[in-house]
Amino acid sequence: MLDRVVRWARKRSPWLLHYNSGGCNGCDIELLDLLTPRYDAEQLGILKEASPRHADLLICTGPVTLKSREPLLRIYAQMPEPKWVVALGSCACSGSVFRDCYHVMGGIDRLLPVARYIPGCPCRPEATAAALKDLLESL
Amino acid sequence: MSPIDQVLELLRGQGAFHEPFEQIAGGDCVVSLEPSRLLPAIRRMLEAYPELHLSAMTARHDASGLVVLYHLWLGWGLSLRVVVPNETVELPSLLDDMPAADWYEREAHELYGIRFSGRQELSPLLTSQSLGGRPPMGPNRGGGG
Amino acid sequence: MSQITLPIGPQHPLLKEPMALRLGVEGERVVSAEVEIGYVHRGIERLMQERTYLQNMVVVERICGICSHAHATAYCQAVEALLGVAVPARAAAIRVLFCELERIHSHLLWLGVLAEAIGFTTIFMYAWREREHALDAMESISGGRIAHGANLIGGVRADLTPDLAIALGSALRTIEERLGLFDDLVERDRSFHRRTQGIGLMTLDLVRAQGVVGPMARASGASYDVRVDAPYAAYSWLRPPVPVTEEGDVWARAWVRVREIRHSLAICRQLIVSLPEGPLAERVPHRVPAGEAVIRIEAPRGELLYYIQSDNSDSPARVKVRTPTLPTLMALKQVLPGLQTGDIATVVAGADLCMACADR
Repeated sequence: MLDRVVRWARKRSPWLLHYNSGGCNGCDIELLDLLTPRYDAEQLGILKEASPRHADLLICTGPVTLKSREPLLRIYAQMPEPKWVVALGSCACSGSVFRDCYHVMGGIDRLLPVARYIPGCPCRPEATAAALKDLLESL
Repeated sequence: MSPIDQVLELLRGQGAFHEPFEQIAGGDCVVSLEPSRLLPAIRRMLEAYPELHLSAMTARHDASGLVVLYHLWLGWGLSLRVVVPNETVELPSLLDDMPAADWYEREAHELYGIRFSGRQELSPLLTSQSLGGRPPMGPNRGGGG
Repeated sequence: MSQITLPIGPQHPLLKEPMALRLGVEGERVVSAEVEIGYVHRGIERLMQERTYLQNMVVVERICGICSHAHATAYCQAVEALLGVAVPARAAAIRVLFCELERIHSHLLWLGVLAEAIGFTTIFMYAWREREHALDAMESISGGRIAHGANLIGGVRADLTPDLAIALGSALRTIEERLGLFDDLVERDRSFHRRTQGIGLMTLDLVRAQGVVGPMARASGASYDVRVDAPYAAYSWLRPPVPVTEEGDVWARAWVRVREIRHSLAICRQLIVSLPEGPLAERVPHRVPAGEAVIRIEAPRGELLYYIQSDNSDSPARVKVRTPTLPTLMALKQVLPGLQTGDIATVVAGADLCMACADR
């Protein structure tokens, strides 16, 4: 599996931007873990790039809080086409345990078109890597 | 004199409080004060206990209206309870004497609508303007407290 | 010199979680700072009034992914206090085991984040590599890497079996062997010293005025540590040493945390050897009687306070959560002015902010 991904990734290297729109940080730190030695996503050619203007892929964690609505829309607007949004973690998928909170809109798809939903609470690095591989192959 | 007795002695000197102290689950002692006695009591306590630490402020509903609890730590836990019977009653801000109260006062105002006098601004700490200004945990928001 | 406003956040490479800083800058110097939070505010305290005590076990663990067990422990202790239930000694010890493993993973996480912010990417990699052993240990015992679900109201759900104890001992030894690298960084690395010593000063007066707690406070000379000053769970017989120093700069914050990691490893080892026998949980009544409880524990970032009011129904009438990051954020408004703009990243990363905790 890894060979196929590495071959594919060498053809295109998506630049990834991450934004947490209201999550507990669990998914965020598992995502960051992908860059660390045990999981080493850099070999897959996935580069984390912090600027929206250079990102292909927006990875969202957390439910969308009311205060995060504007920043999230702004980031998405700044990204050039083609662009894809990934909802990482159960909160990003649906709002999860926070769905009914007064300051929560729900999952990312309440606001943005989501190309991939990756559930998990939090989503472990292996699951994120597998889902990203699947997404990259389909692009 | 035990630590709690020393504090009660000090607080008595600031004016009567409502009832004998009670000890709640977890071990904190709770003393009730009139809103007007809160600031003198805090000032007197800061003189006597310069390392007085404000851990938190809890606003909540009560049969008598709203209640604010000031959770203090002096080497042991003391919570001061102040009743806010209705919207017209303002609590004195502790900001000048105890800057640690700043964001807790803003949060109590934002979530419960409690007003604090003697401070410039009580801008929302946490919530978006799109909530429409009604305190989400306050008396008029409907369902539960 | 004219002043410009430097906005940082809510989205910014420097920030691990969303928050907004508005810094007034003249030339290369910060002259004023405004801190805006709330981007991660979900409204958990009200949510908890609309869920049962049992459902809230799932909610409290997800207030913060880094210190999830600290929240679960404080919550359970508050409910147990209302119930008048004492958890069995073995459960209290296993809770502390998770508390300390969490402290280890949180401090290593912080060290990595600080290192990355000042350009020591290798240290970030090493710190986060060693962190995995603490996460593995927690996962092997409870089944959860991040949200462990280790606690029950009345005790703990999972046991430290002899096999797990052996694996845990090995994980602890591995982390300890590699701690030398972080000790060297703090004690001997001159370029780390240049970037962190004298930077981001927080005086003891500011600590007291703003109610700063945890390693931030202990790096500025304040010794308050709930594990020692108001022992709970197994801390009544475990006596963690409390490293305190007075420099009050980013270096001091690193010094305190590296020492705390070492002490936490020692506590875990002590727990393996002296784990009390007995059941994992007490049976608890279904109904939580009316009353109030205040519980304080020492989360990785400091004093975490839970207040619960029960009205004898299925759901708590009120849950108040005060997290240790809040006073640090309040103090930041006074720590940031005076900094060179080049040091902003160091101080913000070095403050160990947790917005999920602060905003709830």
